[in-house]
Amino acid sequence: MQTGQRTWMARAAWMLLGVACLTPRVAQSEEKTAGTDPKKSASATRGPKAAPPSAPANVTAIAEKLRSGPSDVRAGLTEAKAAGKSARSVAPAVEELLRAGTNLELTGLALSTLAEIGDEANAAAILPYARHRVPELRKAALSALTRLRGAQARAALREALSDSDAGVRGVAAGGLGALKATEATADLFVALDHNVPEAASSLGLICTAEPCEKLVAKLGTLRFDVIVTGLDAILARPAGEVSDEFKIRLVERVRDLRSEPARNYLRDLQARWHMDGSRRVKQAIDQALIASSGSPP
Amino acid sequence: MKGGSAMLVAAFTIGCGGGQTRLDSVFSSDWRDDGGVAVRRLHAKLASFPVRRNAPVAVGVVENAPGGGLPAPSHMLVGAPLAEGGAYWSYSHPIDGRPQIAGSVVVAAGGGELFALDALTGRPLWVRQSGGALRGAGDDGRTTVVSLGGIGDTGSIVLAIAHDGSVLRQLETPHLVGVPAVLGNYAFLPWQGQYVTAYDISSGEENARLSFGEPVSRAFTHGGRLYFGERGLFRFDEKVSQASTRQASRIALPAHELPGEPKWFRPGTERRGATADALDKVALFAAPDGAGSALDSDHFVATYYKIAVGLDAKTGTVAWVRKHASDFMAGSAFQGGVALCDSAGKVTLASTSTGATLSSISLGNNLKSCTVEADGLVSGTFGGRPAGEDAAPKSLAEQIAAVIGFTENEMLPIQKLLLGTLGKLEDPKATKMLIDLAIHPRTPALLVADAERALSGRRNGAEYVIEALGRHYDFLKDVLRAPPLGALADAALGMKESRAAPALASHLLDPADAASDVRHAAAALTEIARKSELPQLRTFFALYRTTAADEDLAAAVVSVARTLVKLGGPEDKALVLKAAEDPLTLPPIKWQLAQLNVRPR
Repeated sequence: MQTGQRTWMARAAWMLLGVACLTPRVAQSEEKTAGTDPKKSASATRGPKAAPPSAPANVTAIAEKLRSGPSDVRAGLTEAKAAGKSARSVAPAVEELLRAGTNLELTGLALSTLAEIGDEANAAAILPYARHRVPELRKAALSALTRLRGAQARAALREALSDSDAGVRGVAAGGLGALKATEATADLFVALDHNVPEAASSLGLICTAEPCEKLVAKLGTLRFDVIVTGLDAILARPAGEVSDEFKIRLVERVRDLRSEPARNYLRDLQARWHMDGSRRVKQAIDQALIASSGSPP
Repeated sequence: MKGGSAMLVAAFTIGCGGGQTRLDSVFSSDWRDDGGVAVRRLHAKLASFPVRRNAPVAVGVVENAPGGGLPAPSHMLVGAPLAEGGAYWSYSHPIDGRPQIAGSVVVAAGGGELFALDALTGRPLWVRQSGGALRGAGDDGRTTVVSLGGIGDTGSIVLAIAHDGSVLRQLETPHLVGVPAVLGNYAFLPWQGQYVTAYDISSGEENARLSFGEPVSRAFTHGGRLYFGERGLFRFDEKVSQASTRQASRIALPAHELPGEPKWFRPGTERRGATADALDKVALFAAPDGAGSALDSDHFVATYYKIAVGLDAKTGTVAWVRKHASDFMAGSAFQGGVALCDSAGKVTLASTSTGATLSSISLGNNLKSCTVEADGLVSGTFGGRPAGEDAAPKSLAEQIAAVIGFTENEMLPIQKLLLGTLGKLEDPKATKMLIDLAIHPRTPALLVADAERALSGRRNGAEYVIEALGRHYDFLKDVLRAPPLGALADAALGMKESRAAPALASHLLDPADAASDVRHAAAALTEIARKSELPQLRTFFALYRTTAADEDLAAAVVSVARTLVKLGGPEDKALVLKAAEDPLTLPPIKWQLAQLNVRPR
C-alpha cells in the first residue's frame, strides 16, 4: 500500500469513527419520540415534554461560516443546530452542503442540524443519505427525516425497513411509529416477523382495531421482551384511540401467560400507571397481578 | 527384452487332464523381433476367422443379508441381459474380486474358487480351486482364458479352460499378465505392460509377439474385431505389427480437462476388489466404430459419480450432461450408445451423441460393484423398459444448469468444468442460467465465483442481464443476495448495452451492493450511460468523493466523474473541477480528477 493510500485510509477511518460517535446521540434523541422504551412511552400518557428554548440565531454569521472552510462549517452547523428553528433561514445553505457532499463528520452534523432547523420541505436534500454506504449515516439520515416528517420521509423510512443493516431497519421501524405512518402497518408486521424488534412498539403506536388484535395475538409467539414494547405502546394510548375494554383484555392476556416475565411486567406497569390513567385498566392490572401471583401486590 | 527370464511352468492338472505346456519361448527375454513377420502371418491366418460378439449383460455383486438358519454365501451375483428376451439370474457364491464378462461367460473368484457362469442364463459352467486374484478373462465361445495374480500378487497364472471345465493350459510366470482375449484357439496375452503374446493353446507355443510403444495391458474383442490397448486402442489388422513405430491403426480419446483424471481403460494388471472404488465412478467409455478406425458416434462418455457427460470425440467439448440419483459404477459402450450401471442397480442405455435414454434395466438390488458388457447390443433389440416419449428435449444450457444446481460437495470439480462450458455456449439462455446460479442461495459458494466469471464474459442474452439488474437486495422480501452486479456490468459493457444503464445507475446508490461490484458498474457506465443517468451520477459523485472508504469505491467515483465530464454540461465539468480543488475530496480521488483535464482552456 502506498503512503498516500495509508493516509487516506486512516483519514477515512477517523471520519467513520467520528460519525459513529455522533450518530448514536442523534438516533437516541429520535428514539425518545419513537417511544421504543416501554418506561418512557408509558410516561407519554402525561403529555409530551416542551422543547427547551433555543438561543437566538445570528443567521448572517452562520451562513458565512457555512460557505467557509471545514472548521468554520463545523462551527456554523453547531451554532445553527443550537439555535433550532430560529436558524431556519440557513437551511438552504445546509442543503447545499449536503448536495455538494462533505466529509463523514460534517455530513452527520449537517443532517442533525437540518433536522433541528428545517421542515419537510428540506427532506429531499437528506434522502440520498438514507442510502449512503455508511450505516451510521443512513441511521442519521432516517432520524433526521423522522424529525422533518412528511410523505417523502415516510416513504424513505418504509424503504429502509428492507435495509441490509439491522440497526438501520430498527431506526426506520421506530421512525414509522413516531410519524404515525399507518400506511406502513403491513410492512411493520412483516418486519416484526423478520426479527425487527423495533416494529413492535411502532405497531403499538399506530395500530387500529384489527392490527392491534393481530399484534396482541403474537403474545406467546414472539419474545416477551419484544412484544411487550408494542403492548406498552398500546396501553399508553388515549382512550379515544384504544378503548379501555381492549386494554383490559390485553392485560388479561398478559396475566394468562402466568410467566415470571409477565408478572414482572404487570408489576412494573402497576407502578408506572399514572393517576390520570383509566381506573378500570388500573383495576384490571391489580387483579391480574393478584390472579397471577396468588397474593396481593 | 528387459526384465527377468521368462518362466513357463509345466501345467499342473488338478484332476482335469489339461494339455502340456511348453517351457521354451513364451514370455522369454531373448525374443528376437522378426519385423512383424509372424504377426502378419497370424493375422492373415485369422482374418477370415469369425469373431463372436460378446454377450450383452450387466452383472452386479450384491452382499447377501445374513439369513436365519443355514449360513449363506457372503455374496450373490445378479445378472440381467441387456438385449430383449433374456431373463434375470442370480448365483450365490463368495466374491473376492471384480467379476469379468468375456464372450459368453461370466468369470468370478472367491472363497478359494474360480468359477464360470453362462452370461445370459447364470448357469454354472465350471468351478475349480484357485488362490490368485482374478485380473481378467477372454472367451471365444469354447475356451475361456483367465489371468490371475500369482501367490502374493506377484507374477501371474494363466489358465485356458474349456467350457466343460477341463484345463487345457496353465502357465505361471513372474511377469504381470493383463486381460487376455481368445481368437481362433490363440490366447492373446498382454504382459509386462508393453507386449502381447499370441499363444497357441493347441501347441502351447508362442506363435507371435507384438510390441507397443505405450502401455498395453488389455486384449478384447468388440464389434467383431480384436483390439489391444490401455491408453489407446490398437486394432488387430495387417498394420498392427508396426505398433512400436506408431504406424498401426490406433484410436485415442482427445485431450480433456475432466476432473479426477478418468481413464478409458484401467491397467489390466490391476487388482480390483468386489466393491467399486472411486476410479470405477470416475471413468470414460467409448467404443470403436464399425470399421474399428475411429470412435463410434464421434462421441465418448465420462462419468463422475452421479453425473454422466457426453463429449465430442474430435474437440473434447461437452455435448450433453445428465445426473442420476446414484453413483455410476461401470459402463460399456456399444454402437450408438452406452450402458451405464449405477449403485442402485439400474442400468441405463443412453445415446452416446445426445444422452437421451434408450432403455433402462434394473438389477433389483443395491450393488457393491457392477460389470457391464454391451458389445452385442443393437438398436431395436434393447431389453428392459423402453424410454418414454421425451418431453421437449432440454438444451445443453438447461442440462448443465440442472446438474450444477444440486448441492453435493464431491460434485464441485465437474460442476466447475460444466460452468466453464456453460459460459462459452452461444445460447442466450446460458446467460440466464449463469445469473440464476449466481443468485440462487443454494448454489455452492465455491461455484458462485465461477458463475460470475463466466457471466462477465457473456456477449448475448442482454434481456436477462437487464432483468437481473432490476433486482436489489430486499430484506423484507427475503431477497438476501444482491445480484452479481460486477459480472452483469461487465457483460452489459461487453454487449455495449445502453438499455442496462438506468439499472446500473440505480445500483450505484444501493448500499447492499459490494464496493467491488459498484466499481464495475461505474466503469461500465463510462461507456453505456446516457444523459438520463446524470442525476444519479451527480448524487453518487457528491456522496462519495469525500467518503469513499476503499479503493474500489474511489475508482468508482473517478469513473463517474469521467462520465459526468463526457455526458454532462458545463455545470458538471464545473462540479468535477471544484471537487478536484476541494481539500475535503479524498487525496487519491482528487489526484485522478485533476488528470481529467476539465479546466476550461
